[in-house]
Amino acid sequence: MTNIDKTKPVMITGATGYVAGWIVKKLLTEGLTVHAQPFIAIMQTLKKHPMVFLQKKCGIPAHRLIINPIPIQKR
Amino acid sequence: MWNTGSSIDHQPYSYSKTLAEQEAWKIHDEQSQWDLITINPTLVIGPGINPHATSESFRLIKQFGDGSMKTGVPKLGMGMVDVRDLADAHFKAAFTPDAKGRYITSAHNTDLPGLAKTLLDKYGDTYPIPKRILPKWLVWILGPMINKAMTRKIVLLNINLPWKGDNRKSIQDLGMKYRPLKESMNDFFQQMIDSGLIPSPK
Repeated sequence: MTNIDKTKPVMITGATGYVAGWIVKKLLTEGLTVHAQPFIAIMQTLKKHPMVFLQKKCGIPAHRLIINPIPIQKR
Repeated sequence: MWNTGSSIDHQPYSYSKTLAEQEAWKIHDEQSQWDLITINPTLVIGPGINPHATSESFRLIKQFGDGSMKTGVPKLGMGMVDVRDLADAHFKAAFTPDAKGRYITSAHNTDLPGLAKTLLDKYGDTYPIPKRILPKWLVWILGPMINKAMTRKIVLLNINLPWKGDNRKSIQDLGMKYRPLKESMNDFFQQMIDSGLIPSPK
């Protein structure tokens, strides 16, 4: 029996991917706050990404989709 | 119930998924701070939030429209689930307090010809959708040459055999509703036409 507090943010891994993209949308439209951490390389395409679109189109306030880009570690 | 038939040499993709999930449950069982629920989908199809997503699903369904499978497809059984329903399953699993354990998240038991058939009504006259079923003996001979993953063992054990997945737990516990196969396939195919992934027919 686990109750998850919907006022707390949710971290989604792989948020720019095929499945998680729809999960992010679902969470945002249900009123939750989402943290995503795409690789910086993906950020360039993310500017045109429908997830960012979503903020404007569905009236999702920007503070509910928090994007923290992460650099790829050099070996 | 676990996949015990796969190994590093036979269906290594399924084997990797099995090992990864077993490891996740092991980590879960060693602590009491958080809960784990696993969602086990079958072949995921349906339009992407990003129409240019890099996913095996896009690669497969694209081939139904670009002519690479116009001679036919083998009768390879599989389950399928719409990506939008799959996202819904994740949401429900998180916010249904009684949800527990592992969930097979699959809408329909089908096969490659069955998937292709759903496109014929709308696109059959304009796109080279596969209509024929390739005989098993031919797939046995040519399969490994065309696709390294399609070994003769996989052909023998899977082609022309029904594939069955039991989604009842997802319906009972999570209240899952799955959309029709045809809707998922047609929405997906149309998105690939609109985005230019499937070239327009000559």
